[in-house]
Amino acid sequence: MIVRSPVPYILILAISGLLAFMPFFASGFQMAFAIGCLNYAVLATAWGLFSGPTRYVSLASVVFFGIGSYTVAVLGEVLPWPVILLISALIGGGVALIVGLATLRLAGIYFVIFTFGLSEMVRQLVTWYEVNVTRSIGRYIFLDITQPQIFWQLLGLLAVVLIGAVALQRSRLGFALRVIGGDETMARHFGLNPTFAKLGLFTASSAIMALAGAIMAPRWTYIDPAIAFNATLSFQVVIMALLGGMHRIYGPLLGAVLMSFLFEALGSQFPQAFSLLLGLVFIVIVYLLPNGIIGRIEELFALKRAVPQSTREGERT
Amino acid sequence: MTGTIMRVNGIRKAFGGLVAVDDVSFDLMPGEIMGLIGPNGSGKTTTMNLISGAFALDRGTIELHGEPISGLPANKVAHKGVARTFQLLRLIEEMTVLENAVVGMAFQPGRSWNAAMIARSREYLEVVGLADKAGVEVSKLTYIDQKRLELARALAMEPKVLLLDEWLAGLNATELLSGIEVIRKIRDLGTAIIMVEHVMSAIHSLCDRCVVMNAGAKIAEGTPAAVLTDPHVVEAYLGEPHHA
Repeated sequence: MIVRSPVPYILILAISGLLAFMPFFASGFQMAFAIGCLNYAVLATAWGLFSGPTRYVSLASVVFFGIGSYTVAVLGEVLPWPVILLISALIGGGVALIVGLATLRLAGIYFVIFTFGLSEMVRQLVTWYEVNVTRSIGRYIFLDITQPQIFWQLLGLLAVVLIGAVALQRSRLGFALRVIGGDETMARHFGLNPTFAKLGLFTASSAIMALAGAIMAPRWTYIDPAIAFNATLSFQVVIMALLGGMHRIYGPLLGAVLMSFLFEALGSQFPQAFSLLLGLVFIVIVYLLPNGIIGRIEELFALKRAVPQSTREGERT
Repeated sequence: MTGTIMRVNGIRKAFGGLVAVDDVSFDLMPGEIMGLIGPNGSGKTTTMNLISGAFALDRGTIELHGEPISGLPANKVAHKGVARTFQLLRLIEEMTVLENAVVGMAFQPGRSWNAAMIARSREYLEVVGLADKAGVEVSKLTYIDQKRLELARALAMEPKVLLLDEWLAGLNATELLSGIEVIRKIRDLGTAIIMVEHVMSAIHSLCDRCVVMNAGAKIAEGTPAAVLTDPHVVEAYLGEPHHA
């Protein structure tokens, strides 16, 4: 239970270190694909960070992603880049804190509905503000940030998030989250405050999503509320995490990489039927891989190792 | 009275129009096993839930070592040193036996997250006789072993007061004997115990004192032998003589 091996940290650093050389030989198309893939990987991993242990399904990913993008659109030419990143993370985390305080006492299904409603509400609010106050629905982002720079930032963010996730899993808080995910009522009776733990994690996960949104913003040059707060993104993130397996740190990452290839293939081969095929993929995942690919692999290994247990089922009264 | 470890004073809890616990008071002495008995629906489990902070009280106070714990949420009550088991087992199935035991110790004040804490939690698996199954996943355990684990987890809190909610229910004759031994061992380690129980043989052999409840109210208190022959108690369990 107490693990101190540095191997996962070294692996994460080594692999991201190697990937960092990619911009020196990759084509523009490959870079664009890699950036999209990294963005999904960050979002899905951040999503899994909160939803994996707590089993709360959030459909609000795009809220925080969009907040990050809008922070850049508004402040992009006013403040230095690191400050903008910091502010976007703070706003994303702050909104998550308020939303979390109001909703994390809600049970499963109500939380899902609320987070979905939230993304619609935020989109409408921003639209209303732009129409009535700034009197212009879209914004332009002209920042001197190159494609490789976006790539490196996302790669760095992903590495930090993964290292944080491993550290969290090994910590007492990580254990607490597993207990809370297992049985919240019981957890209270053993000294845990589930609301506090869930709130902290939701805030951290949302701040990461806002950072991803901010880092991605310069790629767009133009954003409006419909682009920045497109609810499809929230669903894509959930599908990715489910495909890989949301109960393991690397599950959402695996799902994000596979899905990015699938999106690319579907988008280029069947641009008209993209949404339809995506829906089919979602159904297939839920039916055939309820615990994701990693869950299925673990089941196969468990079957191999299974030895007859001396259970005494018959004596149950 | 000085020397009481827990004092329950005039507690009341109503759910809508149903008064589940009505003006119940009792004291718990250090190192004592107190039985909380009564017919089904008499408010025993609700009383346990009030003590452990699962529900808020309508009225009354509960003190632990003279310090009020009523009004605190369940996690704070746990920090003060009140542990409980659940009538319907609440273990985490996908965790191992040891991990479940660690749940009891890990979140108590002053505990560090290290190997020593894990080792100390493991000692409580020994107390209940589960040490050799530490690495087994809970879903693979038998019913009696799951009950033992439920107890080990509560013990790992190293509580001042332990609340056992029908911990002996559903055990066969042999298991019951070993269950009674385990409870006696815990008392000898110095933990005061309140046990809700229907198994009369266990009440007779374990309890120093019993509080009997009926329809939410306390109707008798004394040694098991005395209260179980009390006419009010007999009537509560079996009905009035002329109706019988």
